[in-house]
Amino acid sequence: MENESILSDVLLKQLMAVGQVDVLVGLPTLNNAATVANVAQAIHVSFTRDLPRLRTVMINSDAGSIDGTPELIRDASFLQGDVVQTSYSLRTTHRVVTPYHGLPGKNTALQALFAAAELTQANTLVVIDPAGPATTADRVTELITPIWRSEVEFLTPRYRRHPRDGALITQLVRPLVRGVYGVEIDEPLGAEFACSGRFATHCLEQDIWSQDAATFAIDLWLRTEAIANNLQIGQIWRPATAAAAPTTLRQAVRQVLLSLIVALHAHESFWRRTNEVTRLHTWGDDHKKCPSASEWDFVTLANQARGDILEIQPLLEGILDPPVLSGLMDDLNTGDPRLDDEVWVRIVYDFLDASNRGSTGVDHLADMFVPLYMWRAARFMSLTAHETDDAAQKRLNTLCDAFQRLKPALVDGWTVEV
Amino acid sequence: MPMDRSADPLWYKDAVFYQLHVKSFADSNDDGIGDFPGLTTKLDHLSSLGVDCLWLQPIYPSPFKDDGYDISDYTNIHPSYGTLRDFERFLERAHARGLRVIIELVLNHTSDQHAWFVEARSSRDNPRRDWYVWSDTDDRYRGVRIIFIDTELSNWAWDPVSKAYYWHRFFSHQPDLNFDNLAVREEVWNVMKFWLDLGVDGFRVDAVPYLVEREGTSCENLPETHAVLKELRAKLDAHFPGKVLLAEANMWPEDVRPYFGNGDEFHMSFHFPIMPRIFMALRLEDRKPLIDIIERTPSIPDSCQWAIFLRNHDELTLEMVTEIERQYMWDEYAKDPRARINLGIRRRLAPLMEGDRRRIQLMSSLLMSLPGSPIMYYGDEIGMGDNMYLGDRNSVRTPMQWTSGVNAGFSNADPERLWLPLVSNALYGFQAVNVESQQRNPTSLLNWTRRLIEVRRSTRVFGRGTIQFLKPANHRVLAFTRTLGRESVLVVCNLAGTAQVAELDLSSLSGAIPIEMFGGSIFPRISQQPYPMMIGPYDFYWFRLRWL
Repeated sequence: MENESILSDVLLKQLMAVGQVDVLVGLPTLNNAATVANVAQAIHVSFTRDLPRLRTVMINSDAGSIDGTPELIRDASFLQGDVVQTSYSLRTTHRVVTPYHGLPGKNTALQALFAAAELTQANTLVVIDPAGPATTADRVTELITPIWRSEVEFLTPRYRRHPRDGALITQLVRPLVRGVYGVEIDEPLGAEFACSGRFATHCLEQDIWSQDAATFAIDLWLRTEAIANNLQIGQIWRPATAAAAPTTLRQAVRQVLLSLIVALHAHESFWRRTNEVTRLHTWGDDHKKCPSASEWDFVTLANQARGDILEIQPLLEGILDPPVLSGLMDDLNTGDPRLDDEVWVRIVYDFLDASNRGSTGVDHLADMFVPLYMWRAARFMSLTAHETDDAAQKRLNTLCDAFQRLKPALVDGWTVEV
Repeated sequence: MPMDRSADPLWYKDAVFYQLHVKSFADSNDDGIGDFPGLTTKLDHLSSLGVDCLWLQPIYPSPFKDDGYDISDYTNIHPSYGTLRDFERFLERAHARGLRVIIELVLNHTSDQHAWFVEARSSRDNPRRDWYVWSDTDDRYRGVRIIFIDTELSNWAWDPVSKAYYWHRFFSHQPDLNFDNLAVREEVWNVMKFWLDLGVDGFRVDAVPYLVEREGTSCENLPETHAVLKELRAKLDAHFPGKVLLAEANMWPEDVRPYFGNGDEFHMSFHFPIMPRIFMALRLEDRKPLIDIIERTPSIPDSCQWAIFLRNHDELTLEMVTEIERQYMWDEYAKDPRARINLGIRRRLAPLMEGDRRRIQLMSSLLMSLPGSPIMYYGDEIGMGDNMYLGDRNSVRTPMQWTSGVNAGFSNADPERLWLPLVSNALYGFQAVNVESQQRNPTSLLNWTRRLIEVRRSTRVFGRGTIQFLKPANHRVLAFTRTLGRESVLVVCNLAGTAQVAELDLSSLSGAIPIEMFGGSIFPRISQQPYPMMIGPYDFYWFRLRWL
């Protein structure tokens, strides 16, 4: 049976013309007309001004934009306001604009970019967020350089966040990755990254691309895959940007949990034997400018979560350890959510363990997890509503410690025979 | 069918030129210095190579403080090279073989040991005083750039004899002639006439932008300078039709353009910026630099021609490139700091190509197929090496390697007496690289170069045709057509060290059959569809297009 190809014939033809490159910058887009021309120009200036000797290519992999995004990139004149830099270009600069092949989704776009990187034997692959209004040539170059110089093999952005911002990251993903995988990655879900061509080829060979999890969790999977393969990882400061909100909170929580499950299953042999926490070098300038946090109606959130949890209480009995469930129920019966760190970490670990036991489907697990996360998030918001930023940040650090400290519970639960 | 070029007044448009140092070519009297009798014995080599015209480096008497460009007598031969009679005999034999000869003409300045300057400085009242540019102060023509910034602090030099300053754009031992003086112009014409009467076929005119000085200007490219040159050209055309003037002006092509005038100034001029870009394109594996410079080259009158070259007696000059390009070239082609001199690289073609026969051949093919008349540098036809341990640019001026025998067949003098030591390393030494062995080897670079020139000479399209770049999506592939009337040639080059594929849009040539010019192989007929072309590492094709 013939496998469906990753690269369209049109893209393949363009890559034949591009040939071997040193740096491939990918721009996966979907209706990014408002920002994409500036981003594309920043990439071009980075190539011509900062990397004139390198063989470079920018590839736009578009998911079917209807706002003219590909046309904007294809037709963008890089001469406007850029005459000096362009005139110094030693080489032909390539701009490949192509719709990608297959089902829509960032994973499909990335798969095409990874395949392009392999075909062109790119040393460095960088994926840029097309919605980044603050993307400049300097920042593109900053992303490329550490990989090009072989200082690291995977580079992930780091944002200066307000401690009350991005609760899904701070309450779940960051502490879990840190505690379980033992690496202090700030943003395991970041849209931008840079990696070596070698890693891109490695990822292409993994059985992830056709899985559902890849459609919503490819960013997390990439980072955990890099960790699990002992790649030298670095972080780079990026300016804080408004978070894209393509999904509802409920959807986002579901997707993140599912992706964590997929990642843990894929990397079991790695994280089970990892005990230390590795700190990462961070490149770039930390402007220390912290955006303000968005306001949460945590009372409504808590009420909604309480109702949902009570409704699924019988189902939770098959997932949570009795003391954990008991602690949760006690908490629910108080006026304010007081779900402490230890109970929250154990809930998370019990859910992950349950996914391994297989007695409950992962989709069902994800559905049940949503109100628990909402309850925890409401609790954190409530608790820190009148605290200083430093105090709130301290709580985040404590939570990370709790995930690490209680990791043996995850390991034990994971190995329980059903 | 071979073309008879002997009577064509535009012969220089089709010609392949060959640049040589008499002192480095062949020594007949065992003094370690090449000479005209020696050169004469080597005319068969040049004739069989297929070149049309020899360009001789300075042959005049000179104190040799600037490799002979400091002339002390314009109407004689340097005694080391022989006599005027030897020169005449050489010229006669060259012409008998269909070889033309052009010589150097240094107009701008003389040696300070030239009799004209000796007289001029002898007293302020001397009749020749005004043949040079004098001043009581050194503040005239302020702001005019100093060309040799490494050695000269001013364009004025103090003459202790006549107690005045004299003007010199080059070294202080090379005082500039005063072209505002009609007697100087007349005498320069007399010099030209002297050599033309002997039979030379033209002049390579050195340092042309600097002939006239005017206050408040850069003293370069002035209208008055063009007037002097036009005057000389008019006399040349009137008295010696069919002779050629070749300008040396290391400038951007748009700045050189005025030296062609309306076809009434220089017949030819060097295209300096194209040379480093050929090297750059090959190293980058990207046609961009080459296409950029050719597309910014202005058109010139029909009777005029660019002269292009890969290497010459000077360094591979990097004046006509950007700073980024210069650094790139130095980093890629002159990793050894000894290779760098002034703003350039003192290396020959073969070492620059790391001895890679494929790259040498590709470079030579570009030289022979791009617009302009190609100028080959002696020794490059056999892939001679260089000697960076010699001073100045002598690294690329070592004796020609004729045989693997004593002194490479260049001279019978004691090796210590040779004016420059031979290249004798294991890679490029005369034992390994010499004319004799390559003549015997049918697949040698020498025999390949002969064939290349032969193919170029089979059509006038390379010398006179227009160029149109095809720009396939693959930037490693350089493709262009050369067209002259109904004749078209398609050139496809792979600038990369790996096999490449490209689709050429040849729809405007639909119906033509490409015939490979070296072997005669017939390729599929061109249609409206993209024409696929697979091409090996550093390979190139020349196709004659025939509508049959």
